[in-house]
Amino acid sequence: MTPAQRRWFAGSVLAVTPFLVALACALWVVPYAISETVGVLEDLEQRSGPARALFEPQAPLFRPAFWGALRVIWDGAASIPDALATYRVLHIATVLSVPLAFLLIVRPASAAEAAAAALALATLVGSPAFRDNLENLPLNQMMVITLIGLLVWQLAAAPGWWRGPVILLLTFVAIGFKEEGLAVSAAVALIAWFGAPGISRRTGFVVAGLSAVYVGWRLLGSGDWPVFMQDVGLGFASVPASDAVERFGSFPYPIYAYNALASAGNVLFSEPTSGVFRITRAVIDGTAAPWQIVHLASSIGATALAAWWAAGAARAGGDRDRRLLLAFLAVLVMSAALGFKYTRDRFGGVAVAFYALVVFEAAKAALARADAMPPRRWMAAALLLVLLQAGWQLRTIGTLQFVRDTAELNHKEWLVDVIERRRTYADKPVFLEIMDALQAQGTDPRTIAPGPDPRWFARVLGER
Amino acid sequence: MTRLLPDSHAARARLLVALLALPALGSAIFFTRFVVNRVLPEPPRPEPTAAALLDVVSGSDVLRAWVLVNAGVDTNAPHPFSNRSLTNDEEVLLTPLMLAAARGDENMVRMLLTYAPGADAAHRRMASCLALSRGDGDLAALILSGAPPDTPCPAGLDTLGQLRQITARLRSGQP
Repeated sequence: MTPAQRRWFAGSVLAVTPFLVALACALWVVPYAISETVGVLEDLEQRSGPARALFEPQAPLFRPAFWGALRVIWDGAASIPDALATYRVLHIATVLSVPLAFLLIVRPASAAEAAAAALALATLVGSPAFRDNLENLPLNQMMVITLIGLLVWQLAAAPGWWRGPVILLLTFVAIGFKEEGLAVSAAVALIAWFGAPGISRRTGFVVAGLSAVYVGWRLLGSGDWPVFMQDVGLGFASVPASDAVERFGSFPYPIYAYNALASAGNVLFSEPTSGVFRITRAVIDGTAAPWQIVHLASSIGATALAAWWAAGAARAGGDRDRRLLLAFLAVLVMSAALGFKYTRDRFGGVAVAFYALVVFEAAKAALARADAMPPRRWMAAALLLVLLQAGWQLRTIGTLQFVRDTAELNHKEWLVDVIERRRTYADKPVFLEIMDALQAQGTDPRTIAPGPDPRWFARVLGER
Repeated sequence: MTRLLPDSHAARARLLVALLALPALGSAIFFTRFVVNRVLPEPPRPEPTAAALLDVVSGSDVLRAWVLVNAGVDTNAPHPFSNRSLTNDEEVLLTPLMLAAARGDENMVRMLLTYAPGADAAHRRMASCLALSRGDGDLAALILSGAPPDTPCPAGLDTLGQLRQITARLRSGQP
């Protein structure tokens, strides 16, 4: 890199720093949710030891790396608050590493690339998947997998004998954190086949083979899994799991296909959410909030831009462009397929990271193309690109608002739900002990410190 | 319009990049402001008072009510209160728990029972009766933590009637 290129890269990092610091500040005060975290920690405390946590393949939530990481911290901490502080620091570090890893990969080295990176990074951190994965459970598995996905892509980009084994290891750590890690293995296998410099075809075969064995192993124990595990979104409404079993249980495959398509749709168009077309519904009813229009329009714009670039890359792109396209499609399809039982925004975590990489290339190409346009067309292209950038930057601010709303929501949960849970779990001393230990952080007044913006801003930025 | 554009492609490219940087700059300013607001000391909040607590309880604002409870507002002392919907602008005496019960605000009742649990038995019974006057037996039971009231609630009185009776008893110093 020349000094000038280094300056553009440093400038890009500097430009994203306020967002990262603000996000870290906001995440630091989000209370752990009483509804999720206490149960997870109780589960952790009650598992008899690491060995049992590692070998329960028949369980629907077989995640040995996730439970192992939680366990090491849990056992090593002097107290529950210490363990929680460590989880929190790790979560925030993972969250911040994702945009930084993205910038390291794209390495903007000119003004045009810095502008393209700003847009692409906004499509990553402003996406519903990224927001949904800001939830601290106490560690967010999807955020870890997203980071691994980006690292693997970067490692595969240059030759080196050690890169293959590291990619192999990281891929299986991702799978060990959550099943969605299979999206990473799909991308690894494909880019290895199509000549990624950092990974041989043989390593690609090993990843594909071991992943297939893992899937087969898990499916062997799938007979006990419920047909629908959680509420299923369908069209404009959500169907409770029990109703879904009754209505579709005998032949659930069309609903499985719908769920998969809904997951992909959420990555590409921010719609539907959890399988429910709530923005479309609001538009039809004439009740759409400004943020809903911004979300839909900016996603359609970014996806159109990405599709335009993808068409060119498929036709006449270089090897790297084609590999990026294949990797994106692989993670998109695999993430979507893994959400077959029910879909949630968070399932698209890895896919949006690769989507953002595609948007970066697309924006770069669009800027280069615009340079050569006659004035009228240049103005039209410039207007579209600026509107797209404005929409996604608003969504970036919306991500911060989302974290603040989550903090308030969790805080409120701690205010009104403790009494009921004390009664419901009266015969579960471990649950009560953990809940008591978490209560102080759940009601920390800093959570609801007033923000700089008026509440009406939420209508523009998005509401939970 | 197009005549305003720079002639050279390079100048137009620079203009486009600058235009694209503007929204990103705007969001960066917003985030900086957010961080600065977090770092700066909070402006002093108004003095926490029983009247302020009753006000936020009547508005169902659990978060703000908790802030006042946490700040040490006495939740056991009855305080004058009036509004149009509940008391028809008539002044009554009540505690936050009674007000939440009279409004059927279960979330507020739960918060007060958890974080301001010192209400004496007589006040809890009054609050429970107010919930019953709305036909909300579950809320009444929650307030009494499942135990039946030691004395029966006044029969034949609606919520406002009960509030008047409670106010009269409190003013006369009866438990």
